[in-house]
Amino acid sequence: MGQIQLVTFELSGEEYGIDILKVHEIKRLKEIGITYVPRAPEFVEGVINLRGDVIPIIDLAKRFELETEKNEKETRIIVVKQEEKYIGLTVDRVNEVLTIDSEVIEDPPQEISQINSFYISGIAKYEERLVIVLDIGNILSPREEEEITKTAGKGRK
Amino acid sequence: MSAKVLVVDDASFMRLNLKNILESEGFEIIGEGTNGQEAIKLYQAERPDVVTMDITMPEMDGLAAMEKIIEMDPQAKIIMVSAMGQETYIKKAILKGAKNFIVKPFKKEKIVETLNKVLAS
Amino acid sequence: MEKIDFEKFKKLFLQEADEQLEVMEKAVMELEENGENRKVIDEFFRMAHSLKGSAGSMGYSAIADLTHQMENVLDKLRNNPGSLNDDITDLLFISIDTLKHLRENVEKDIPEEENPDIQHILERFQDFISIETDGKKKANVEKKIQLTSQELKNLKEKAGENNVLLLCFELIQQQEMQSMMAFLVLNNLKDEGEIVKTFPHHLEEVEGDLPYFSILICTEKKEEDLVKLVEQTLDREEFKVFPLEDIEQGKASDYFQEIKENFSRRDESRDSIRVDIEKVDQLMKLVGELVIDKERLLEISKNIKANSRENSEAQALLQTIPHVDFIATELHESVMDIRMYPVGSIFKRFPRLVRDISKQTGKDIHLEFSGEDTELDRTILQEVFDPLVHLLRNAIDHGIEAPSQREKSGKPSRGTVALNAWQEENNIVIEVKDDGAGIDPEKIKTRALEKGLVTEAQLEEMDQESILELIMEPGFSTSETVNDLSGRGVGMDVVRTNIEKLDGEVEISSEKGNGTSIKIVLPLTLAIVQALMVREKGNDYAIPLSAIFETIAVNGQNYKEVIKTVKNREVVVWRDQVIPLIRLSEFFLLGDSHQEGFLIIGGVKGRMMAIMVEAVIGEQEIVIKSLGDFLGKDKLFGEIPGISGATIKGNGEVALILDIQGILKSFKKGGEAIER
Repeated sequence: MGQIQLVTFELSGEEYGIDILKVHEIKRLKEIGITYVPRAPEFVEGVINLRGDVIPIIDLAKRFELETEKNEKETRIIVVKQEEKYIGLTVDRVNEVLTIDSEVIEDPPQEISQINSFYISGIAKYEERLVIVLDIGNILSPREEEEITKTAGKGRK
Repeated sequence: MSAKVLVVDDASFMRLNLKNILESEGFEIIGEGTNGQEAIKLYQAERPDVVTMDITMPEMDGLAAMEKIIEMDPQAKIIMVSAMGQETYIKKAILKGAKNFIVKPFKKEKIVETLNKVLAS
Repeated sequence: MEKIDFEKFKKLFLQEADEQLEVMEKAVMELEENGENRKVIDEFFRMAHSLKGSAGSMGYSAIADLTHQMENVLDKLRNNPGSLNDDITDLLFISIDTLKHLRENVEKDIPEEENPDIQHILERFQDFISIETDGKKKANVEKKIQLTSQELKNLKEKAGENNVLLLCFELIQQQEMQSMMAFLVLNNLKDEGEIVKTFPHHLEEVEGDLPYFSILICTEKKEEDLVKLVEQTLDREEFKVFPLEDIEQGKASDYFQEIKENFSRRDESRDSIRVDIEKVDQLMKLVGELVIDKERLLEISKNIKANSRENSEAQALLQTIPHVDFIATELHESVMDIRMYPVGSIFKRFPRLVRDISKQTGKDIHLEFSGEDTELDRTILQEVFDPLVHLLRNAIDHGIEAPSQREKSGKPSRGTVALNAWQEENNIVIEVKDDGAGIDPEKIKTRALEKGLVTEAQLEEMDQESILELIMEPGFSTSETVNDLSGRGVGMDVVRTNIEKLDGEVEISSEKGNGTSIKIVLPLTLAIVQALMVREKGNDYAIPLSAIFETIAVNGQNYKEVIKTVKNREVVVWRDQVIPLIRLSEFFLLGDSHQEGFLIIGGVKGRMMAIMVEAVIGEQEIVIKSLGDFLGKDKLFGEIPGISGATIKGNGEVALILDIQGILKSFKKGGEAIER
């Protein structure tokens, strides 16, 4: 088996990785004006203009229901490409590009992380580090029932 | 004597455009209104020979302004300036006494011709 | 012939044959549908004749032989009006199919001797040609202006001292809104006498393909006075006046026919070039970018204006920018225009399809068209073909009853399916309408319950329209038998999904026993529209101008006058109508609303509402960016009522586009109505 390159980043204290082939570019949060989308699920921060295309920005911590405190200086948007669609993911900090052997990636055990294993495609153990490799497809899948009720509830008085 | 025209449109470009066209054809622009309220005031003060009136404007739209002006001066000659698809408004405007209409975007010849026709009536 | 030349000729032959076959096929359908028509036969003959010629010179003898016989039978028809019958049309159909087959063989270089045997067809032709036929000539002249003798008599009585005049108008200079021009003319004339009649009856029909109309007036005024009056709106060359005698003698009608023909000729003779559609799409994309930049320039120019009155360079720039704006707008219009195609271009593919389906199902179908020249963005038009095929199949297969059944219910044995298209404000409507059995709501209810699509309780709550709409739910299919006509598994849900992808809607209405109408309502264009920008809680939203009637500023002074409370709901009294008030910040759950701001009065036909926003920024052109990848059921954002897409503002940021119809719908359902 060959090697894989992961873009790694931090989210609420844990380290995550996305296959570099899925990553289109990385932007600073401060650089862009995000337009809020009313009545969208809570994890949708809004939409931005990416060279003429309108793409959504997803707050990954909220998507994973993690507690996090944003330090806007370090917050980055990772623009990923999934099925010809571009989507931006906000993360607390981008670390590096990590080259590892694909064998190092193991199937995710159930309770490895704070986040739902639905979003995880594997765990990379590399030196002393544990990188949670994300399944982009599942992150971008439609909002679930519970979230619908949550957002709808938000507005009711 | 050149005909006196009041141009009413909330978009400054449209006003400028009309002004350029009409002045080059020897019309005299006696005022520019940016909404219906202004149009009425300017009409009262200047008594132009003809008015070009945009339909969709803030404050008071062209339709309402046209009605008010016709109330004041039943002889008023008002040309509605409309975007595509505003048939319903045009129809109302005609029923209420608008003399003609122009569809945006218009050609220079068209607007001049329409103005001349209305002025001749 | 040199090999290379031969290939070149062959290519040309095939190309021409395609065109000739298409015309022939159209002609035979025309003959079958409307009976004999000399012009159609002549054209048919001409095509057969040229195909015969080129096939002969290329050595394709089967094609040459067959076309030769077709020529003979057509010639016979010409010389013996009234001899056309179903056998002949059938034979002509078979011949065209065979010719198509032979043409394929030419393309595949299959040798002549391996062609199918056409001897039996040739013999059938022989039979016809040798039989002497006679019959009555069918009158098939369409007259636009026709008065019954009774009407004429009444007119003469009425005339007395008055003038009865027919004014015929041909709006040759008016580019758009011809119907409104017609309306203006009519409005100016209505005080001059009694308007007896107009042709067409509804002046709204005066558009594009029908840029002419007539007004029959009975007046005390003299002809020249009326002419002067009309000249206030139209040029003298655009209309003609006929006195009553001319109407009686049919001169007026002839004139009408003539201008109609002139018009269609002018249409045909236009010079044209073929352009790869990708190039047009590319052009469109570039124009979109240009429009965005143009808006940016306009914004910059506002700032310059304030800052540098003395700087002559800046002033020069300020003068140039409006011109750029103007050119960008014109360019956009022009490119949009290139993309517009008449719906007739897909309609013409249906007669054959309908004929085939009716043969297969044993149903006798008359297919009608109207509004073929209604234009639609090419991309939308392509996407709409398959759904239309499906609707047509449904109409014939499930809508129209078997001839015997129809007779029993007192209907003509021949069923009618109509394909109608028209423009309705900023939408194009394509309707598939049949006079068949209609949809039985009870059956739908039973079926929907069976399939578990709804509960009894839900059904109770539903109105007729919603019940009919159940047939578009996935998993619903009313067909009792599965056959190859309706396409297994592909149902109305696919139709709806495809149409919704285009930002369109499907509307169903049906009357049990009397037929069904399914309307596809589509946006006129997808790309660029004129919009009003508004602001709420720091965010800008674009509202297409087509949906807006008026904007009203609300402040402390007029608040109580404008906004009232009825049954705990806020309403606005606007032009004698009471319409609901929706506060954007509340609808979008953005927080508490405000007392001052602007009311955007908008909506569609009779369903109006007022939306309260903080500020109105102004009108601008917006390029519509689809959010279709993210917006909607089972997508990332889910369904968000009130948002239809996005656009990019002059400063490069995104603004969402408000969907007035969506807000209204959501309000109508009551789910999001704001109780106060």
